[in-house]
Amino acid sequence: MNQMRSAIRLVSILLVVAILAVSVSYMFIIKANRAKWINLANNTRVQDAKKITVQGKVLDSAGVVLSESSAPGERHYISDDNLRRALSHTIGDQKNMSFTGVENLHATKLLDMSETKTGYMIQKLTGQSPIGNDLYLTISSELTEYILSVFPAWKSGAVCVINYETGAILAMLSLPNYDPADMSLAVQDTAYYNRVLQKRYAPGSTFKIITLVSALENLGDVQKEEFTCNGIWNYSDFALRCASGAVHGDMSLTQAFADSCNVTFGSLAHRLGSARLKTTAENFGFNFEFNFEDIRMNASNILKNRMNAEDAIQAGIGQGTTEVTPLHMAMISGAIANKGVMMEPKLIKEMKNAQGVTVSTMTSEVFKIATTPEIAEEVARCMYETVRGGTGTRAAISGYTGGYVCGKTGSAEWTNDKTRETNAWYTGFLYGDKAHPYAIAIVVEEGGYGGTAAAPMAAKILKKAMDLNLY
Amino acid sequence: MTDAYESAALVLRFLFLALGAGIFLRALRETMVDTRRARWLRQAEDETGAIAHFTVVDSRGRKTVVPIPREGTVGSQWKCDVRIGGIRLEKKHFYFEIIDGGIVITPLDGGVTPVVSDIMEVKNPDDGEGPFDKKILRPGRVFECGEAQFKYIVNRISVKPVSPALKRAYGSITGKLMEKK
Amino acid sequence: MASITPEAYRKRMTRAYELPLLYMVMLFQFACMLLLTFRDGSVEPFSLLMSVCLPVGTFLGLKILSRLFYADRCIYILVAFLCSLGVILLRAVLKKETDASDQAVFVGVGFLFMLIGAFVGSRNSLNEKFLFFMMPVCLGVMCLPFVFTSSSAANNWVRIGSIQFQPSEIMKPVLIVMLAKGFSDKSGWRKWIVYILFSVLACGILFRQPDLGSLFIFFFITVCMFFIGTGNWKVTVFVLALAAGGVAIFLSILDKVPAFEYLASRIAIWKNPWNGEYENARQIVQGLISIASGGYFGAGLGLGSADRVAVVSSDYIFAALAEEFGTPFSILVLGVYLLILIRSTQIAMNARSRYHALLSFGSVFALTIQMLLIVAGNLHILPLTGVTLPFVSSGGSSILASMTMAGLILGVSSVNAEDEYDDLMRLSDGRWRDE
Repeated sequence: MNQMRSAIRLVSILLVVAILAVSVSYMFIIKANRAKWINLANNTRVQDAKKITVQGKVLDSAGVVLSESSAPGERHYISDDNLRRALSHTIGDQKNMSFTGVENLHATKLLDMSETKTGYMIQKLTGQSPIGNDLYLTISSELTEYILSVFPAWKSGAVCVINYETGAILAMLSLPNYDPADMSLAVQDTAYYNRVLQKRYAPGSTFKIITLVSALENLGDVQKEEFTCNGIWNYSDFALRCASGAVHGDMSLTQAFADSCNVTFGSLAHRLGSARLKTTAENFGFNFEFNFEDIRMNASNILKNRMNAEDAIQAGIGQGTTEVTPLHMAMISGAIANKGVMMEPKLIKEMKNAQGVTVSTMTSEVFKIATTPEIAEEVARCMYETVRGGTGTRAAISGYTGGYVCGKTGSAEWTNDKTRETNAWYTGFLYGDKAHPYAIAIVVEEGGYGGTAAAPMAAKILKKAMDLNLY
Repeated sequence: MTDAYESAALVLRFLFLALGAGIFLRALRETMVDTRRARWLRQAEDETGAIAHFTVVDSRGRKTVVPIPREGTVGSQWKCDVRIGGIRLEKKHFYFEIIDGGIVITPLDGGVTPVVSDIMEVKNPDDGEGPFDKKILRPGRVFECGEAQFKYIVNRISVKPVSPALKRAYGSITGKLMEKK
Repeated sequence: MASITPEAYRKRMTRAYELPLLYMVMLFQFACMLLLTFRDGSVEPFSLLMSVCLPVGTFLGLKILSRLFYADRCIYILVAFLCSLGVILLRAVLKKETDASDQAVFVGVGFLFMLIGAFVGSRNSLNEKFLFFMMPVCLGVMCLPFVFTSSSAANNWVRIGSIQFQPSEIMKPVLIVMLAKGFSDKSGWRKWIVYILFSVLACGILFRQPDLGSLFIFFFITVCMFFIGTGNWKVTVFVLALAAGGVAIFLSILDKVPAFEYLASRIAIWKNPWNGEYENARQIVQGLISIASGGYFGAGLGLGSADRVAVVSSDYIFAALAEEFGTPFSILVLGVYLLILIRSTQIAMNARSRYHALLSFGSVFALTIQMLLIVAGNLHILPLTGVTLPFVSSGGSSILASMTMAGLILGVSSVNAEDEYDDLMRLSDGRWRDE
């Protein structure tokens, strides 16, 4: 009998542990996923709530009302067409076509579907009709409208400006866009897609930022080395050329970066090898399923399936299977500007309830420590050289003395069809300017060279942001 | 669904959670009390559950009284239900079970020595002959095992008494069924 | 011995120490059903009736049970709590009133089955020849679904006219009783083989049907009772390893065997229900959304939308519970199952004969394993296996089987209580006989 008792004790302890394990994982699962699941498109409770609750307002950082409701089930947007369309992806829509807009992703906040439902309960008890919370975004509508005005007409693409010290997103634009006020209008293909957050582009030469960081981290005194570029590098049966047949000759690392020499960076990537390059990229957030509170962003990928030498070289110049979202690229630039610290992107500055009481405010959070301050400063120096005398000279802001304009251009190949233009990339930041810590990323699809299509836009946009005194 | 119902349901949520917590905590407390009491009772294992005993006489003639529960193993291993000091036993010597009418002894294989233990025949031949494997021994019988002789004696209360409380609770059919056990 | 006085013990055994627990459960039942009465603005007769019947039924049931057996009243009250929770949830979540009223009827009948189980559990043993006779009868009953096929894909229901039941559920307590008798027999291998063979045949029938959830449970019950009955952990581990290996091989060849295609798709759905490809994935997704919508206090009784989940009344009743009453409450319900497990383990440990120990622990093992399977399935930790949450899920066979198993546990606790009383009387030299 004693033997049986010890056997019973053993099995019962296993069962108890199993029950406790299930309970604990239950709590963790709910905690991690509640926000994501409740905001899914097929959650009928949100639709039901919209019928009885007046949705809260969405406002920009200056207090401009971007969308509001006066009765359950209807929604009014800004009357200005351009502005309304410019903000369409940021705000979202009422028909669940956008996955990333505020009205879709944060519907439960606008409807005050909280975990305790106390607000709703009190409103019911006091006989008021339920009203949701107001969301004050970090976005500046004026800047967004300006961006739309300087973006090349008839081109698709994405622009985003962030504050690299706090992580706040100051402006987001994705083209083509749609009209949230009239969803019955015909729209272009992929109009509901938020290219800033969802579209993954090959980064092209802008990826050299990460290759440079990796080289500085792993290859010792590589800054002191001299590089020679003959315009072409034959590696086994594959030829690597610099853009538009340029031959750069002898140069230092900084110059190679500023002139965006493919040969140099291809060989650096080759020396690093896939593993080290991938590790550095992953330090910057690659190959990671982002799980941010305020936004939903697709993961950026690099060297996921094949990792041989040729893949490393392609990755080193931002081609191959490498892909990045524009916001992630802005975050990468921001990390360089912010002494190697990448901040979590934030969209919601403040949430106030129907009575006007502030329920929550934005808190800046560190997402990753991407690299050391010393390396970040060195890279920033190279990026400054790009704007001062390299491929990004058109990004310089005339008359600007508050800090250093740093950047990197890119002309990413995205198709084998030689008749199509490359995607024009530019990413950069204002370095050392405490009042205006901006980082920016621009993609113009089929825009040609980053230095000519994207860089001048960046100068104008950042200048406008400074004029508006955004923080 | 009326507004009044919705308000009532929203408010009563707190009551339901409080009741749920109360139910769980109260049951938890009862369980802890009962567990403590059960452990105390089991620690007095020597005597509790003992409804009979063996009188063991070893080779030197010394007598020991060993209380036994309704069923269990006798041997020298710590896991055995009955351990007897002073005589040599295999790790698990034999298994006994008290049923209606007597005790059933089943020899077990020892621990190290894979030989069937040496339980021998019943002493009084008029009770049936032959080596026993499943014989039922009535109270008072003696059997040999190793160097010792075991005598099976039932305790004072041989038939399960119907506790007065039980009897008071029901004089019904089930009460009589309980009695028969 | 100074820590327990005769007065305390007598009070403990003859008076209702569990009154506060009982009253809280009764208040809960009353409040829930009373609230539900006024859901549509007018008085709804069934709910009003239930608001009286559930608490009164629980109370009377306790009285009847205590008169007949010295059973563990705490377990009874917790079981009654879970059963009434089931009725309340079905009323709150489903539009049709008949689901809840059917459930209430089954709970009532279940009480009788609980008494039957208690009676069986309190007997010393069952006649072996009777059991051997019952074995082919039971196997025959389990084969009935092959004869009377019903509509659902997993072929484990029998429908005769308007009566519908699930043989595999009803067989669970029978299996436990049989195995308890078999493994408590110390005569050795030959007897065990018969019982194990019975179990293997039962599992084979389940595999053929196929009812994999029940198969899982039957298999684990047998292995557990074998381990406890014989203490032979080497064989147990070997069998478990063999089963694990078999499952692994089975899963890898799943795509190639057409007969089990639906199983392959089920596992694919479980791995990734989010991409919207599969129609059937909707159940998991809606279930998870339901659970997440509960929050800290629940959506409010009757205010949740758990009926959007397919088959919520039996498969996803836990999700409905989490939505209506909230996440903390649902964890407390898991705690109730935990307490039933702990108390029943105590009962098994205190049992004076191997048969009783096996009987009680086998029953609680079956209940707990079933609960773990379905809750893990609801939470997307394991694939959904179609078993029910004991006592709470709708389904007559499920309720009756679970009540019978609870009854077995209560029966063993009754025997234990008598033995305990006798021990204490004897230890105190009959001083307590002064009644």
